[in-house]
Formats: sequence, structure tokens, C-alpha cells
Amino acid sequence: MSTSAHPGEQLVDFVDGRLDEGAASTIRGHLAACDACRAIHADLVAAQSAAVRLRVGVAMPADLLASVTRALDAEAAPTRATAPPRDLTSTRDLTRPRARVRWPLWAGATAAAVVLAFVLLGPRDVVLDLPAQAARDLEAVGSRTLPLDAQVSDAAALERYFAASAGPRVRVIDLAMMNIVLEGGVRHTLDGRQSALYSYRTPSGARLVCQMYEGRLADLPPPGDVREQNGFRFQIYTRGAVTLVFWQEGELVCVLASELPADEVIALAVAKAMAPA
Amino acid sequence: MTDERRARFDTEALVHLGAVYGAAYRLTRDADRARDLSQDAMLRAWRAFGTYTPGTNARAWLLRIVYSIFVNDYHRDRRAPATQSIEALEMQHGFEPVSPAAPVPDPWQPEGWTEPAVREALDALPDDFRTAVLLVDVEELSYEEAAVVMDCAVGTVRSRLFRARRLLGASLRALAPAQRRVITKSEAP
Repeated sequence: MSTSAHPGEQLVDFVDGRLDEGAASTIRGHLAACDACRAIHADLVAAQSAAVRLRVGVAMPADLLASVTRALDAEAAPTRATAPPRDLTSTRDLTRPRARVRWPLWAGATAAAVVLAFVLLGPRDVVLDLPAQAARDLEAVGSRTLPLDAQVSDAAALERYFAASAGPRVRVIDLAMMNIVLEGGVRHTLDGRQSALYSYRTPSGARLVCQMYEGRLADLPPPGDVREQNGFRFQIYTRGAVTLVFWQEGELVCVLASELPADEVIALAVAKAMAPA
Repeated sequence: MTDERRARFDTEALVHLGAVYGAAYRLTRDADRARDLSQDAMLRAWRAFGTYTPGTNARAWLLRIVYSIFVNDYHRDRRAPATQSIEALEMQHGFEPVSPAAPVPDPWQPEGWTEPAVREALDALPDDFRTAVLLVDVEELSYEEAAVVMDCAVGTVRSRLFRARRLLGASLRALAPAQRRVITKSEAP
């Protein structure tokens, strides 16, 4: 047991790298000799590591931006009403609702940029990890922010579409036997990698999105859970309400994402994973 | 002038609406209240936009507004979930200011934890302590920025983080066997 003073709250500075090398070295020395402080340190590190998992974006209600914009418009309106007319010679009908003429073109462009920023940056202004991006893609398909270029329900036809377009050659998983209907697909980019994305609907209306891209499972962040089955390793992530199951098929990484119960998403992935011919 | 101000607000503040909503949701733990809080925060930010210094951390500035409204209007709402005091939680886990005589738990790793399990453990903490974790570990603010948001001293942020993380770690560790049982059960054919 160390006889030096216990660092107490200074341990949190140590964990967060806020100490200079001298102070950090003193704490490292203390930790090497003090079981109690080492246990506290382990809890602090584990808690921080766990809390970091909550960094994934919370899905913003689809209409919140419009709602806030309207509220801002209303807030700004009195100021504008007292402003002098821009063109006193204008024959514009002053009884016309102001909302239609309030913003010049550049303001529309700004609004578009704001929307684009949400699409590109997601709910947070930080780079999302790949599973979080795949979860966001599921939401984008549902909100039609990410339209499906090829709207076909036949897996073979969609495979031909992907084969004819640039990007990795992929198979399209057929879930028709499970009454899960293919909606269509699109060539997409997932975390900077070309992917083939396709979407399904279940009889209850739930959506599943599958993406395949060239890569390695090992490049993904640490998973929340791992299943080894049928010679495949399934890495499972939860991002918001979305369960994502990743597995490797040859050069391709496949991911199945859905808000369905996790066990159902995992079972589908396990049932449909297929080694390349 | 107003149009220019609005355009600047859109590009510097409104682009953070998603982050504002995320922070509001984590604070309130309720989608409807998070929505109201986000909208209130953006309107107050618009009114106070003259006090924002361009080029500084706009997200931290917005989070300060979110937190201020939360503390003043929402946090005192009786709908807020009740939590035990930090002292009661520490006592529950057998913490002492310095506990060299306490049994040393086995080394453990947080791997395998799901986001809901972490959120549940975090939600059990009193708001001031939960907020310190949210601002520093989730929102990635510095202690100094978190202190401004919470309107407290940097030392208070450190103290809250220490106690909050220690409790969070202990809670997750204590829950570990139960979580493993759940996973095992779901894996059963």
C-alpha cells in the first residue's frame, strides 16, 4: 500500500490528460502502489469509455428545423415591419403576405446550406463513426432524403442495376420468403467508401437497409456485441434506436440496419450471410 | 441588416440545431420536452445573438443557453425524474472519501455495454453530476467550457466529474452480471 497522498479528484484530471508530465508521473507511481486508487482509476476510465458511447447523434424530429425557422421568422417579423420599404417606387401589392417575399434568394441558399449541413454532418457537428452513418442512412431512406434511384422489388433486377453502375459488385439479399419486400436501391457513399445500398419493408411497415462496401470488419469501431455463427463473425452496434449488424463476405463488408428488435435484425443477418462463391 | 443578421444566425447557430436537440434530449430524457427546449433555446439565442462573439465555440454558447433554460424552467418541473442524492448513491456503493481499506473490485472492461445500459446508469445520477458527464464526455466540452455552461467553477466541474464517473463506473460494474444474463438469454435458441 502506498503511503503517499491519495490523489482523489486529481485522478479525473489524470484520466483526461489535464496534468503536466511531472504530476502525471507522480500519479502513475501512486497507482502502481495503491490498490484502492487503482480501482477508482479503473472505474473512472471505464465510465468515461462508456459515456463516450452516447456521442452518437440523437435523431432530430424531421419537422423541427421548419418549426424553428417559422418561429424565428415570426420573431423577426416586427423588426422587418418597421423597416423602410426597400423600393418606394415598387408597385408590389403591400397586402400580399410578407412571408412570400421576406427572404432574398441568398437567404434561400442559406437555408438550403443549413439543411445540407444537417444531411452531411448529421445531428451533431462532429464526424459520425461508420455505424452511426449507416444508421443515419436508414433514417435518410425513410425520410426520402436519400432517394432510391432504382425502385425495383426483384433482387435479380437490382443486382443487374448495381452491376451496370460503377462501384463494387454486390449481391442483393432476397428476403421475399420472409415476406420482406425489396423497395429498391442506390449507389451510395458510406464513410467515404462506395457502397451499394438497398432497402426493404416488412409487412408491419418497418424498414431494413442493407449496404455493402469494400473494406474490413477490423476497421470498424469496437462493437457492442459479437456473434460467431456459421463461420461468420457478426459485429453488432446500437446507434440510437437502430441495430446494425456487420459481417464480412470476401472483400465486402455487409451491414444490415433496422429499428426492428435487435434479435430480429441479428437473426436475418445470420440467416442470409453467405460466403462468396 | 436584419436579413444579414439572420443569415449569420443560420450559418453560425442554426446549423447546430441537431446538436442542440441532442443535448436537450439527453438532459430532459423526453422527446417532446427536448423539442420545446430546443425551440426555446434557438429563439433565445436569436434574441441574444448580439452577445455571441463570432469565431468562438457557437455550440458551447448554445449549450449554455440550453442548460440555462433547462435549469430554470425544465429542471424544476415536477415531471423531471427523481434521482437519489449523490451522497445517498455514494453510500449505496460503499464509497468513502479515500477508501484504502475498501475491497478492491476485480479489473473490468466496459466492452459489451449497450448504449441503453449506459444511459440508464447515467440517468440515475443527480442532474448536476449527469450534466457534467454529458458536457465533457458526450458533448466534448473542455472543463472550462463546461464550467461556463453550468455557471460554476472549473473545480466544481472536476469534482462533479470525479464523483459522477466513479458512480457510473461502479453502477455499470454492479450491473455486469445481470447484463450478461440478458445477453445469454437472448442468444438461447
